[in-house]
Amino acid sequence: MARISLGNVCKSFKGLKVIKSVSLTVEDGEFCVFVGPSGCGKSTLLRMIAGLEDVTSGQILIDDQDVTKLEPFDRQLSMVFQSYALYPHLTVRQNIAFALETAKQPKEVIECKVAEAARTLKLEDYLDRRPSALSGGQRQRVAIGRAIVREPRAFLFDEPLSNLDAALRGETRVEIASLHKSLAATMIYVTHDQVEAMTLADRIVVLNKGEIMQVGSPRELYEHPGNVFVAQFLGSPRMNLIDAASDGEAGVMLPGNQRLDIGQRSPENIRTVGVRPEQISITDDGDAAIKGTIKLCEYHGSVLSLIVDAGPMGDISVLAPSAGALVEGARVSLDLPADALHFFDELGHRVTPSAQA
Amino acid sequence: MKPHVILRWFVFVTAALVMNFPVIATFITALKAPAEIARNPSLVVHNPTIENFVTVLTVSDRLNIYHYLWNSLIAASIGSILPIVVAFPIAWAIVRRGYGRNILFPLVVNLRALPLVIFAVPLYLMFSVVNLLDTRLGLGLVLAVVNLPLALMLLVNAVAEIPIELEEAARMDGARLPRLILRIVLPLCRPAFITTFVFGFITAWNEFLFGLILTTQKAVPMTVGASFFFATSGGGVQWGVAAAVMIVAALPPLLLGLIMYRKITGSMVSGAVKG
Ligand SMILES: Nc1ncnc2c1ncn2[C@@H]1O[C@H](COP(=O)(O)OP(=O)(O)O)[C@@H](O)[C@H]1O
Ligand SMILES: [Mg+2]
Repeated sequence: MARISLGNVCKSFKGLKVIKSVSLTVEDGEFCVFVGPSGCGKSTLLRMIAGLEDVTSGQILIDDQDVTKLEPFDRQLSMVFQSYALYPHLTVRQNIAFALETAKQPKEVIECKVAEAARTLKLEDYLDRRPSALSGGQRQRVAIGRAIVREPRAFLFDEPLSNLDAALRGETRVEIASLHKSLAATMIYVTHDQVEAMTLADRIVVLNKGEIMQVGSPRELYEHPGNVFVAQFLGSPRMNLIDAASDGEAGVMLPGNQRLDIGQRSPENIRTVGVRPEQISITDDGDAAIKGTIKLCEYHGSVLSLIVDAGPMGDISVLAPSAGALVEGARVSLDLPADALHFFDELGHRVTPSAQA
Repeated sequence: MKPHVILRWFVFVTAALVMNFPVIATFITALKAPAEIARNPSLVVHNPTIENFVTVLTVSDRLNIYHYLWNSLIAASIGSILPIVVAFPIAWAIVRRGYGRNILFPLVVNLRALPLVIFAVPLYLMFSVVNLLDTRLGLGLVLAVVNLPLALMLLVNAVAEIPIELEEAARMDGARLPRLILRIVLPLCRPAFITTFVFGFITAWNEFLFGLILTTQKAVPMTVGASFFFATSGGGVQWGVAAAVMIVAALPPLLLGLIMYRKITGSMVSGAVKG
């Protein structure tokens, strides 16, 4: 297995910059997820690593070997495509064996490895079928089987689950996670789905418009988003953002001239306060900084998802225990705990309040 | 049966008869003796005979239908297989690499719009220099040129229909160009090869003009050879023999079309991508 490094990698399509100087190292054995909105360049970045797309500038190293100019077949990576890309004229067995045959492995070895991959992926009963006679989930597993049957230096996945229905997606996600554990392989996984990113990743790379927004473990990114984009991209419902300004002391001024105590000296350059919906609680405190009317109340079973119209502060989403007796139209006060607040400056970067008040 | 069903069948049968009238008339004429042709122009044969077919299929010192059939078979085979061999790599390069997409491809396809007879004189001169006149190979080469535009068009479409991910997957699986082409692209183009071959073979078999100009004896194809039967022994046209030779000449492409019909349709790529 291998370590993959990108150094100032750029990509333009006919003068249009799609990837803007990305530098990143994916460690040996790491499960790294590229996540970002659709069109942000995730696939392009992955395809450059694969060798399917040439690099406009910058370099790509695999285990310190410069592969920037190498063809895909010389990079020894496996890739699972979003569309599966199974060879329609070959049986499942031949599909899985294709890479091994290409590598001219002995027949017995091929047979043995195909059987093992089929067992791992529960494909034994389908080995002699053509892809057109398989369901979506089975096709997906064949695509994965084709990738794991040889020992590549790393696995690349491009949105492998996006064509599956919700139940199957959850199941396959778990299978991929356990595959990563058992193979101890370097994996780079592209998705636009933050749940997949959060659950699978050792490390998440958040991309937006061809640039890295932040890199870190799921917990780091969720608890300490480095900027407004990451803060809002991860988490559902999205983090609430409220305009704010420092009051020069241990508080911020919110729209409507409401003061919110933050328990620390507030930095001068604060422009926005962020708070996640699940960290807001509904209180009886009549002095709370934020009051509003429940505009929408959705019952989700385990929680109630509320949208509270908080006047000058706009709409605020709140997750409340579903046991509460909240109804649309009710007046509520919101409690924003000081330690749950995130602060951002005018460029959207995170600012950390200094400890001394 | 309800009246409108009867009416519908009546229309179908009438249309079928009208459209196929030339074929039917030819076939019936082939079954008539010369005397009957002269006095009975109707579609009903009083004394059907296979005499005309026997005449056609008998080798005489002047006419040998097997020779013409053989020449046509060889020339049409060259003329339908060679374009596939030549056009397939070009089609892949056009679709995947973009070579010649703007000039070469439109140019070759537009070759079809030219009346090919304008090439006849230069071709004759060239062929006489390289000793290709009156050879099956020479005729086959010209027929290959005739078929090239159609072959290129069909194969470009076939390659373009293969999802690019399949080729990318093969490259990720370690396949270099030869293996990629032989194991992935080629098998997926098989229906297009068959289609191209069938259309090309029929076109080549039925070609008359170049056969007439470029051959004299050794390589005379069936179409040209058939015309020799029209006026065999001095007198006027022997219509019964003429009809019989036309039927025989039309059989090979007809059979080919019927046998291959099922294989022409249908795509190979179902199940490759998505659900
Ligand atoms: N072959 C291409 N030619 C031109 N533009 C492309 C090509 N491939 C991708 N792009 C553009 O690059 C951007 C990023 O695409 P992509 O990497 O597929 O995004 P993602 O996978 O994150 O949804 C998109 O704006 C897309 O239109
Ligand atoms: Mg993509």
